[in-house]
Amino acid sequence: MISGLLVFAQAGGQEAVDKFANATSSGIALGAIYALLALGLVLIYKATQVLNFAHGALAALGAFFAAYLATVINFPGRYVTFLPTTMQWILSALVAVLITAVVGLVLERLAIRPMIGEPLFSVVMITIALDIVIRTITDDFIGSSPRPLGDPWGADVVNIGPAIVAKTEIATLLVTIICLVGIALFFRTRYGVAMRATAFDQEAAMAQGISAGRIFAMAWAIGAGLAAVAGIFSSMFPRASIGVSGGTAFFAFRALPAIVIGGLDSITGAVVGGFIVGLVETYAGVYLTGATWSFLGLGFSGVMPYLVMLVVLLIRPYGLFGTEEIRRV
Amino acid sequence: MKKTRIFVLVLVLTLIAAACGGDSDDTTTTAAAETTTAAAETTTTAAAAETTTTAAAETTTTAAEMVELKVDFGVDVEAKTIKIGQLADLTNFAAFAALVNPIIDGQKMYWDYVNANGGIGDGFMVEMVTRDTAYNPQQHIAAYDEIRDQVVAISHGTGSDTNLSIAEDLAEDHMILVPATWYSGWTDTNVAPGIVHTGAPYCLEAMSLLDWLKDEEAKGGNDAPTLAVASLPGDFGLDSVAGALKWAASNGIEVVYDGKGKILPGQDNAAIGSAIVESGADMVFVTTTPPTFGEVYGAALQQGFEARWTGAGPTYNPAFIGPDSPIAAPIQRDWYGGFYSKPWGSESAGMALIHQLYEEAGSTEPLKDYITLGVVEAMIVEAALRKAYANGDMTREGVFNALYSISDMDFMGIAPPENYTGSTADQVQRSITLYRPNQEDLLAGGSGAVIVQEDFVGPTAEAFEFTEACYTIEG
Repeated sequence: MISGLLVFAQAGGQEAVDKFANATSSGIALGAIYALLALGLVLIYKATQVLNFAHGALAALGAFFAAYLATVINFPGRYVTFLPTTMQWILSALVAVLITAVVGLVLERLAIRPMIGEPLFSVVMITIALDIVIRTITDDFIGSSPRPLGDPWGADVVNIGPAIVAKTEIATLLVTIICLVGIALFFRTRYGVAMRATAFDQEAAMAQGISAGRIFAMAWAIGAGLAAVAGIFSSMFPRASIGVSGGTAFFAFRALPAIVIGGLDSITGAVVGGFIVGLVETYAGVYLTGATWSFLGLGFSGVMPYLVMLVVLLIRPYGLFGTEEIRRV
Repeated sequence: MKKTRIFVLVLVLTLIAAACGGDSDDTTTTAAAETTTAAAETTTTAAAAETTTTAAAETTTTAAEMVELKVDFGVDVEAKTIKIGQLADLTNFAAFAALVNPIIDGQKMYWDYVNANGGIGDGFMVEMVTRDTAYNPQQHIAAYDEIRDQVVAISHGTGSDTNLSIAEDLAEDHMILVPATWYSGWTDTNVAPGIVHTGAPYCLEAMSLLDWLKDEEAKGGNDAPTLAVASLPGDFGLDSVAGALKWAASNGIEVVYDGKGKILPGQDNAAIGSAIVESGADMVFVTTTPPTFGEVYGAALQQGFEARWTGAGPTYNPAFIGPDSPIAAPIQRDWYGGFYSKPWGSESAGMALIHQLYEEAGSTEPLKDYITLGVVEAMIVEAALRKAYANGDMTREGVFNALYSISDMDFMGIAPPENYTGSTADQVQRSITLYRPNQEDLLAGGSGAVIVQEDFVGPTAEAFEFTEACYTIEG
């Protein structure tokens, strides 16, 4: 699709190619963040059948932890001063992700585990309540002004062909790839297989001696960790030039079409859906503006992912990679 | 099942605690009630009378000076309290909460100071009744309905659209409200009686800022600079951009990108930044929230775009030049700011007082210029209350009439004087303060705004005949 559009752009001269290249790189970087968010959402959904509405709040909390650790207390950087500053920042970010994963673990144990056996609707409502609580607390932590993350890339950019790409965007993409590979490898481990088995048939998995509770906890911990990674990268230049703020939590909701497009229970679908939404939103923002498209009204770029979602659902009601549910009637 | 019930109970309690736990959210604050000499010399007899008329004050000096005080809502002559409302965005950090929290802090500091110095009249202590409206018209309306019969005036209302949503009720109640917005309709005497203007309206601010930028361009040898504009939809963005477009028309400046109303919070606004880059504008005028400005500016900066940027005051947040901000260096190069009151570094009796109150309160609030705005808002209501007391009528209507009889409101030098009498043209304020962002100043304890010129009125803003709002709401 992208190469087809590139040919189309080339007809418009160098300026059109530059515009297209910049839109594509920006869309891929945005898509990587959506993919990270979608990955966490799908992981929790697969294991527990619950759509976690507190995902955005966890993303903001993780980003706050990273900002606090890196810029306020310089932890663990102060103990490893022999390391380069980039490495120190990466360690701070990793600790932030770890803390958020622990928060996910605790939330599952306190708020979700007691609801096992209760209607799923009730559990979803619990996640909405958690969203409100975590957001309120995180907003208090953040304070009145956004908190910069103090990342080593700042506003630096590099030229890759005709595209001008922020270093943070390259980092986002690399980290997304690392997370994807990590998740793929995890599913090959004993616990990963247990999680897949639980997702496939919870009762059968329990009959084989798999602790569903432990699997749920693991899914929440990994999901929260992925949310933190997404929160950190969505709070950087150029997307949020001044850092993590109260608005960071709402960013996650923009990833919802991604999991529907990809298929609610598909890890591959989450990633593909994330990149589709990122690219569609960016292309729509760049190309469907100006007088020619004014009849579409304001904010059409935000609507486009939902239109794509609608089309996908019409063709494949369970998403591009979702499992088709067969019911006897 | 039992576990579940206990859990649900704990969760509900946690939610309640979270909702009630904020410092200033939904609270009724009693400002310091310690009175000093002025109040101590006054012996008050609250001679209860009929429902609305009360003998409120009897001074030891002359019984003949006793004032017949009419009251209705928000003034308790027995408890000697005056309740003042605030409809504030305290929690919507994607909108203006970052700027509004210090405004409310500033008000609290100032009302504490007023109370400590004898309060209003013969010792009436001012209490703040603050409600969080999250920059949401529905919450704004609900909050107003809740407090309208508890307060005599509203010293803060966040947002243009939000305040307009209660404009009819305010007029009906004869309630004054000081908005933390500079919509030109507030100065238009026909638009929203009771919503009190302060500072230059957005559209005139835009004209002065662009006059300044055009001068800077000319100094750099560019006599025909081009302009790109972008804004939020709604009165805040559109009123401001209306000024920019009127300025461009009257100066013969080409507008190479018109993104009026196209910035939308919660959506990807990077495309607006790209469109600005594509336009190649020399000057960029953007009026939006600080987080969305960050998105637009960040996208343009990423593509190596350099221009002179400006916009309405609330678009900019000193956090842009904070020590770890990735855009600190470029924003110091690119941003040309204007403000309605005087920045922290200005010299006046009022600013000295604010510095003193800030230190006494032990505040560490970094957005110091918004503390000043809070004090300006409080001063407007204070002046109206004092005049209403002197008139012996502290009903809402009495306070309303008192305010609109003041022709020379003085802010002790922290904001230009205001006139609330006469026609729209008589009342309009044109003066702003020009500043450049400066990280060194911020790190040294200042507000990060270095004054370029106080009391500035650009030639286009000066010549503009202001007889009505620059932008009117449709429908």
